[in-house]
Amino acid sequence: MSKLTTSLEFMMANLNVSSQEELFDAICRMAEETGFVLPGFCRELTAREKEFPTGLQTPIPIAIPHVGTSCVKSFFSLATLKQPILFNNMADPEESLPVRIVFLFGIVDPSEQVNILRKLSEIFQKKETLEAISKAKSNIELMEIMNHELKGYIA
Amino acid sequence: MLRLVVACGGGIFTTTVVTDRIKEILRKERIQHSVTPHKITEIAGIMDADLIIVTGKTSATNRMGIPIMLGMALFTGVGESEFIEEFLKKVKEIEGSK
Repeated sequence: MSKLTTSLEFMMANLNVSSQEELFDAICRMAEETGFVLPGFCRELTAREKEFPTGLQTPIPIAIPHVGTSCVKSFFSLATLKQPILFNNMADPEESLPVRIVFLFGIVDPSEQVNILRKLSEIFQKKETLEAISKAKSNIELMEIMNHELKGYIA
Repeated sequence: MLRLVVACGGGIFTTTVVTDRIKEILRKERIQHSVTPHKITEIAGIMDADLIIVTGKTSATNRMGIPIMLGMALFTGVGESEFIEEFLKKVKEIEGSK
């Protein structure tokens, strides 16, 4: 089982974006510059989101956009948004959710990441953790929360 | 042996977690099973499965009438125990009729 990579560069607190496009752009650019994904990644992410939305009706609504194609090395990014952006609900694509916490993933081989994916789905259900994330004032604070919650799972 | 299909949109996150949890549940109940991943778009044509679990709401139906259940609860935790109860009920029904 391999670890999932993330780093301070992938933590984006209080991102000031006003659309899904802007949001994806900000994170994908970072992922491309650091060699985690190939140029097609953003397009594929957007297409997947349109077809199979990733908004989740968790205690505080979140979105988990992710694709595996055009991804060179598995990673995840956590962004909190200054203003909510609408994501459609995975469980009911007709419903839109105002989301301010976004976990974006590029996953090369999900079978290698089962443990951390399960750990993450547990975190998504914990109201206190989601609250702490939404209140984080800096990228470092986000990183600290992730390090604490995912100790041993991330590289 | 119980033949399950887990179908999802993107094929990574939710499928992985839901498949893992389903295997765990069935292992605990000592029910022999196989789980095959598919895309939601492939649901209509699936032929050799007893039950299909989808991880995203869909209006897709299976041509052969294989029952479809929404397994989001295993991922979000919301309504999880109800899902597991219904799931096991259905599974035992299927196994009983074989």
